[in-house]
Amino acid sequence: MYMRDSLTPIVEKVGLLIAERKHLRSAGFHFRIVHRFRMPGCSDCICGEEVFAVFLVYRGREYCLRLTLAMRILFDYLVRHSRFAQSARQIELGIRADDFYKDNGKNADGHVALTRKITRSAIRVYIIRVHQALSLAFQEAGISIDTKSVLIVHETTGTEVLYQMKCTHTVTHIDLTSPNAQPLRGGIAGQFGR
Amino acid sequence: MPRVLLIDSDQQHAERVREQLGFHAVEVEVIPDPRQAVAQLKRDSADYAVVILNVSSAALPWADTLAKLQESCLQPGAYPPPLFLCTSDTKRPPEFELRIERMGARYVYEG
Repeated sequence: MYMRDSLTPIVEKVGLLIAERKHLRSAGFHFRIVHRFRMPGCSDCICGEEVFAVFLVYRGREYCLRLTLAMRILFDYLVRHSRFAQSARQIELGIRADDFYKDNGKNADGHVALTRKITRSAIRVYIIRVHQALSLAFQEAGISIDTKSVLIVHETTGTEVLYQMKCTHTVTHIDLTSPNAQPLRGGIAGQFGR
Repeated sequence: MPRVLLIDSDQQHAERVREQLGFHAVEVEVIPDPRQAVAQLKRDSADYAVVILNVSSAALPWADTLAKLQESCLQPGAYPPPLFLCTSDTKRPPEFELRIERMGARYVYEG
């Protein structure tokens, strides 16, 4: 029979850490992506919002990833498509075909999008930089981990490599505060929902 | 069965921890010397779910030791690395606990 003594806190903490590790193994780390300039009243992500910031969420604290605009767009895309390992070419096409990224930040003034053209060759460089940003955030959080186990680079039988995020995420929205806020292109907000 | 590496120079304490965790189906391997533990983790960090470090002795630079142990788990393919728990039977100031937590480990006082 287990008795409560001075070692009970150790036993309880070990149980907690084993559960935490099991969760990390199955689901990966958790990230919060902040989208700014959401149209008031919209419940989901729609075109015109800006991928504003990315945070690593670990043990109740948030650690900001130091990502440039292009890297934030890439990170957002990879996290949202984390079920699939994709080549640089597929990522380029996916981002290019998605109006959400084409119109990134456009809700702010209705005209100018805050976006970047992300080419296949640039993706390889951005992946390295995202690894660096992850490394800094993990360092700040005191996590000793190879960032390649979070943003995974899969070898293929050919020369191509595939990229995949192993993580969970939530998106937090900050609404546009302009009193004249109108959904982009004057349509019904939900029409452009993703 | 999850495995735990216990770094503890106090043999009696280590035996008690091993026994208690054994009741909960946790296998404990004891290494008294942190330097040996670094070598062990470099070889097989993926084998352990948790590393417990007994930081009861005030004489040793535990933050440096913890950092070295964590570094030794930084290997490609070993995902996720073992998580760290520091334990002490002597009361430490909050700054000590905060420093350990900032390093990503958890701390427990055996009150």
